[in-house]
Amino acid sequence: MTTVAENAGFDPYREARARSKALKQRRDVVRAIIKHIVLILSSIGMLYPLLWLVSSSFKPDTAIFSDFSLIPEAFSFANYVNGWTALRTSFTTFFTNSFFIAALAVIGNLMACSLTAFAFARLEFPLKKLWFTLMLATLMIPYHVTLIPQYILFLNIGWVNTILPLVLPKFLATDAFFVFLMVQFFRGIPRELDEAARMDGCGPWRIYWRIMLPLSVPVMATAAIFSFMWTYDDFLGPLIYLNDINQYTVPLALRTFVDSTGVSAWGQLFAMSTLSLLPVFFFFLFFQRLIIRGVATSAMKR
Amino acid sequence: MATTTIPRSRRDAIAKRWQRGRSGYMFLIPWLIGFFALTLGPALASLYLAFTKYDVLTPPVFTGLDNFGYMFFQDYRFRQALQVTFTYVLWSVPLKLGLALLIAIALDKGTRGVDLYRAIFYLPSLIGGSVAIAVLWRQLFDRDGLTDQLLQLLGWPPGTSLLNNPDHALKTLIVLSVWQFGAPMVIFLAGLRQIPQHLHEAARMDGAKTMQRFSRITLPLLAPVIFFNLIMQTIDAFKAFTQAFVVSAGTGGPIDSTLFYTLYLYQEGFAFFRMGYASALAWFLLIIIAAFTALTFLSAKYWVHYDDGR
Amino acid sequence: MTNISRRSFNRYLLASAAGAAAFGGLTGSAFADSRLRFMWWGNPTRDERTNAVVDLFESANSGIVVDTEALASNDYWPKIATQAAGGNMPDVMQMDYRFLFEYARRGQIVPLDGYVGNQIDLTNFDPGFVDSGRVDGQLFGIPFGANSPSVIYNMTKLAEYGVTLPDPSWTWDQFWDFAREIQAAAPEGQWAVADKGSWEPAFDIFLRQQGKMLYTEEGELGYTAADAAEFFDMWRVARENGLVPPADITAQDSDGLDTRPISRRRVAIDFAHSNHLGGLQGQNPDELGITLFPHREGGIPGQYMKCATLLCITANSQAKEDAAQLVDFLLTDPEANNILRMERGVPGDNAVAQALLEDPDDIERKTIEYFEIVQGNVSPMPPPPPSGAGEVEVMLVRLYGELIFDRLTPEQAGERLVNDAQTILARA
Repeated sequence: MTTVAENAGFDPYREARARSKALKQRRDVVRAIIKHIVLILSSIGMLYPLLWLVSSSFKPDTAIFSDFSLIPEAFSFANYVNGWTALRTSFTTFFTNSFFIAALAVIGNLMACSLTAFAFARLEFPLKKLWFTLMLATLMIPYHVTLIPQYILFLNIGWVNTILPLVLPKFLATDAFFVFLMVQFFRGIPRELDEAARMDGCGPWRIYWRIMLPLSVPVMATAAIFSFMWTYDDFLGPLIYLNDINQYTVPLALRTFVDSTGVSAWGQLFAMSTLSLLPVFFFFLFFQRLIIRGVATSAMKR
Repeated sequence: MATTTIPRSRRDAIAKRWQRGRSGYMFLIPWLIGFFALTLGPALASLYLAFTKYDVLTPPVFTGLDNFGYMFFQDYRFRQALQVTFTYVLWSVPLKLGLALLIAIALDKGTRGVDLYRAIFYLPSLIGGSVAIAVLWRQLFDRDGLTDQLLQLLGWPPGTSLLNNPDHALKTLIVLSVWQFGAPMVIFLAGLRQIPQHLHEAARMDGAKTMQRFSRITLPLLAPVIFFNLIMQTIDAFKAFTQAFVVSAGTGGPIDSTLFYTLYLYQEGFAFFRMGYASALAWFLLIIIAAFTALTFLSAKYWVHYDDGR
Repeated sequence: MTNISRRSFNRYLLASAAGAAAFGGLTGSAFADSRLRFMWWGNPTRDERTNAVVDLFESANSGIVVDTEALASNDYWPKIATQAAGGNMPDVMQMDYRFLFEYARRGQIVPLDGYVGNQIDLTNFDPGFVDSGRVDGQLFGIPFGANSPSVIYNMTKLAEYGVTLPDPSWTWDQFWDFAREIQAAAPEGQWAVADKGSWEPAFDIFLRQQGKMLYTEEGELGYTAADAAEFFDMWRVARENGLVPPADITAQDSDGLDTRPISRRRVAIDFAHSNHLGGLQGQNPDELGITLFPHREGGIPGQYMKCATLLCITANSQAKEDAAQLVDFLLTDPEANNILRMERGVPGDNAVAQALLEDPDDIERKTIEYFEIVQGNVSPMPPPPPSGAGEVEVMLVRLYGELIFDRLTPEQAGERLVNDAQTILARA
């Protein structure tokens, strides 16, 4: 638009405008630089503890607590090599278990929670308010309270020492957090879209599948990220339900490094902790792009 | 027979409502199963246990209101746990949400390398309640740790330990919670993405300043997401457990200064074999959280508006 | 809810449970005659050694398969409690003396008297030592290694300071004189002695030296508020004289060996259970030594041998006789114990202990020498603690915290300890 105006004949302020534009550009560059400096400095501040963790994983145990510098005097991968096989079962198994459980949890949560959320956000049915309130109420129950009754339940079904108690609940939408999250986002999607589809004779299934899901990529990506990470991080569930070290997850394995009655191998703990962070870090990097891409679609439709 | 007396149009309406109701319940089936089997059942079991003496090792014995009597009139650790938890909630939730929103807006778009920044700011949350946190926090806040060194540069005498001082230990856990602001940040980011860009552009054309656009467009349109984060973070803060458990090695020390409610509940139930009392504590926590959530929901009327007209 | 749901769930979900078992991937041979579960808490070294011994056991007993699980102690007890609630405890479990009475009196572990002489051979054990596993006359746990509270000192530092450790027959006065000597030579940021006024075994020994005790035979408190105040006051004096570290260092001191003042290299003298010598040495580049607790002038010996851990068989075990065989193997097999060494304390089986003496490592030699001195200075085991004693121990740590942060005087702390302990015992 501006170019058209600029070319339209003689413009007495043209030079001044050009100068102010150049000034503005320079100001933008300065602003961007300042923004980056602030961001970089705050990243470093935020990350200092983690950088320390990573750098300590390359130091021998004796140097860890006496040395504040982030750059180790000598790089050594000994902690990684020894840590990987320090326990009776190697970390290959623990990582495989963790990924397997976390992947199933993601699938379960996305499927079950979006179904539930769609019902609460878009469908009318008797007692809806009551169910919704109860759903929210389940958010508030401290985990430790239902722990023992749940354990007894799963024990009687014969599922203790399998991963089912960790995975199956996700397929039953027991993570009310995700249901609530999706409800909030589904409500943000304009109603005209599904009203129109309904006029065209679409049933609820098709509205859910063809309209709501494609428009909800950001929230689905968000839910996927959180399901993955929270399942991956959880230790109380695996601690209670898994007895066999071959089924242990990474956080559980890490806990056996620290003990109260003997030598603690800090360097190895740090090395394995660092490795345990890497997959989730990349998982996040990848999925957050989906958040952005998904948006483009939903924002355009507005 | 009675149907004949109902006008046809009304009958259709009822039929339609049930038709829709049926599909509503179809969608709810997985959740309903999970709710009854995995949540309501165990929760009711624990409600019953709240009125018993249950040492886990032998069957529970009904004791009426004894647990609640002890809780309200005698148990000073319970009062301490309440105080710690309320302090934590009131500080950590606003700070964490404020920081998450600030960073989310800064990282919304238009900055080069925004992906990487986001991932970096999320990193602290990835570490969650890992055992490594205990060591990291000692390295930061204990005597000879980073804060001690920094304070010495400012002229403090050496030997400051925030972590092991009952006046300051809770603050270090609030810092930990604020540091892990990734989850609300991601939700804010997703919310910001849903704000139509043309609204901002229109406002800019009308000469609205950054702050004005923030308060007139971003905040109102983000209200449902802020509301969501507020509720979730408040509930989470009341239930906070892992971090305190890891940092204080399960003790809630020094001298109960970080005795979070759930940590106390855990000690009573799993260390001291008082699952009945722990259940009573849990149900009281549930009531407190429910009250807070209800208040937030009531307040939503005045500041949260949904697109779909509710 | 359990009975109804148990039956209906079993009926309706049998098929899915079978699928689940296959899905969960049960490992090992499903056709073994007998399958045992054995759980302990520990550390990577202990886990490695114990697993090696279990493998040895399996090859010696072809019909028995043992599934092992090792956890950190913070995780161990919640898991055991949950399993106990579900009747799904491991067949053989490592037990802490503190919890022996809770589990025994509530019927979760079984008396072993019937197995002694059959599967379990205790002929080489000191009867008095075995008795520490008795609850109300029956043997519920067999001690898996002996220990005793002890003084741990940093030999390198004492040499650096040019001071000489007094004879093990030292009194508290000599102990504090020695502390002053150390403090005079110590640089800034270093203290002579760790502040252990919150450590129940230290308080216990202090009481026993005066003929008192923590708990009487009837399960009541064996001391008064004034006794506790006297103990607290001894530490207050040391604190005021700068012989023990300031409150924040003491407050950090917890279960973890890495948090002990001696491991953080703050003090020259600390106190710990003797079986932790190896673990503490692993935290410290300096050389550590071990000696007796100070005595009371004209008093009686306060120290006693106790069991570091015990082995128990649970009530829900389906193969108690095989479990007993495993217990026996762990306790008395020479080859097994040559792998386990003294990591859990000095073995109770004297023949096994003698065999270890043939080629002891440095820590083992020090521990054995220490035990030889202790043996001449011990008094009998105290009566078993009542239910709730574990919680009183936690309460002591908390009250002592209030004391060192100047929120209570020793007298007030003594009063509070007695009051709170009585409340806890009444509730237990």
